[in-house]
Amino acid sequence: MDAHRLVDPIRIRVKSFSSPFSSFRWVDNNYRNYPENYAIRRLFSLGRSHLAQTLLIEDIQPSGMIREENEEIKDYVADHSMEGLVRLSFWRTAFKRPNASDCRDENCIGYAILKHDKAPSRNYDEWHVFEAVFRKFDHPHNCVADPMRVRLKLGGFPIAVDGVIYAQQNQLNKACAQVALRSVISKILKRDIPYTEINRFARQALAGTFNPAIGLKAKQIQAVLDGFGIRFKDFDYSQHPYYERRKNPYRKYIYAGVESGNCALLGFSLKGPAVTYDSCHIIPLYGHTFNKDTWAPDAEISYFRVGEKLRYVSSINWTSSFLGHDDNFGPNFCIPRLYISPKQVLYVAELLKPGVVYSGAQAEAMSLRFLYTAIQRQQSSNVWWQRLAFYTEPEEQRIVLRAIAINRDTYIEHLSTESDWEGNHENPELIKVLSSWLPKHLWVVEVSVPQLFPANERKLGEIILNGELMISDGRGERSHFCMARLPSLFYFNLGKKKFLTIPSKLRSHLPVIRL
Amino acid sequence: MGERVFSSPALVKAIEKIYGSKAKTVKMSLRYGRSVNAYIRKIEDGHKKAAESTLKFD
Repeated sequence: MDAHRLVDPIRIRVKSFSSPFSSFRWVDNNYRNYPENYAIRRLFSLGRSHLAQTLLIEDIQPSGMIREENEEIKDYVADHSMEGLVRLSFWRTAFKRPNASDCRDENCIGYAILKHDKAPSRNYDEWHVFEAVFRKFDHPHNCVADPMRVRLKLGGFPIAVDGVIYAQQNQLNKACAQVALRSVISKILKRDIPYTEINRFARQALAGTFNPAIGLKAKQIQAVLDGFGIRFKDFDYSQHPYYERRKNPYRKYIYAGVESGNCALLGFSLKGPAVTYDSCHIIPLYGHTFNKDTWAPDAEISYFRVGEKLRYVSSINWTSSFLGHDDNFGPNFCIPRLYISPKQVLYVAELLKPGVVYSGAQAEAMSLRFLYTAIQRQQSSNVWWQRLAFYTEPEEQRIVLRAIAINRDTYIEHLSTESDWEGNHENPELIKVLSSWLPKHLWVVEVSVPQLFPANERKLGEIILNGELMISDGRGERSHFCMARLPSLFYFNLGKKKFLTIPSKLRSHLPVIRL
Repeated sequence: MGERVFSSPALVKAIEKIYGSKAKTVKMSLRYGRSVNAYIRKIEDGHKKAAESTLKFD
């Protein structure tokens, strides 16, 4: 799958990216499209934003996925020809010739492969971004859990770039749906996937003639995800009354997907008189910002309601933007969480971590039953327990929940290494028992309170759910509940309303889990 | 599958070996079952219904 990234160049050019080099002029002279290709402009803007000093331009031959794509296009467009293929990379250091001291991972901001396709019968003669990977901005508020490490050869040197593959449609063998699927599936599976495979699954999903250039239906997207073995929970808002947009908000699906290191797909209608209701755009989302000083949660906290008398504060409140790509405009955008109006959103899909079978929103709801019952019932001299109890009171219910899907080993590692505010560690003998008892795939719902969560990124405990159990397999949600760790106390589910409790050495707050 | 998976007598035994009499069994009925189950079911039903979606992304 990496052949197109590892192929040796047939020509190398090195340009200083500093003044007076003009990105606009370079794009105008070399990759000009009519109409404008905003995504190519965006690549150069990212280079500038990251303070690039050198642009490396490598002309390459089609190989691997690109050669496969050219063969696939021929099946649909007989007069297709590839007119150009170039690998661009942006570097933090200034150099005139690629060399070992400059061409290192930490100096590489990102790369892009631009492809020029021509098909006279389609009146098509354009450059597009076959793929690009740019590192995220270093700002700690930009959170991308578990990014993909893309390996390639630049200037003759092996380089690795951490990020999420961005790709653009060409209206020949791929539209927005295929490129969005490539971004999210490659990130989850940690391997690239060719369009030929995406289109094969999509073709099999529906009877009749298949034309990949005109996009995919939801059923085909579902078939592609199934084909690659990726579980998901999706929701088509056009099938439901308008109030479901409020009761079952798309933001919950996205946040649960990206917070666990997976991704989400967001489909929305495009504005304009020429756009029909059934035609919409879809984009991949893979991260979020974390803004601890966000005003909204304090002043006008946004509760998430599970039922009329059941609510909590989702950690999404401290997310201002989701991070994602838009194939029309380029990679690595911050998409303001409240910018896309619920009215416009038609479809959302939360992609689940391999091994996990239900949604993060469902996990949070399940954890509430235990939390709001057990804490109110149990008296404790622990001051953090008492604070937690205050926030779980029926009239208060200001508990902050953050659901993340992780495997058992990650949780055990977390419990073994972290200490509470006073430096206490958990009993290693107990941790050893848990490591052989817990299921492999977990939903961990971290429990915190306002101020402690955003300011310190710390929590008071977690509810551990079995992520492997299908919702329909268990008797209600109780069978998913494994255990809970709260200040100074553990609970284990013994079934039949019985819980085993033991003391915990962790008496106050711990850091939240970071992926 | 079900509750038996996590009510392993081996777990109780292992924990009691470490904690002795500090390990206690409590009985409680969890509240809010109806609201939570309805919410969980709504997500499941929405997902099933999405399989019949006619939306197209281009």
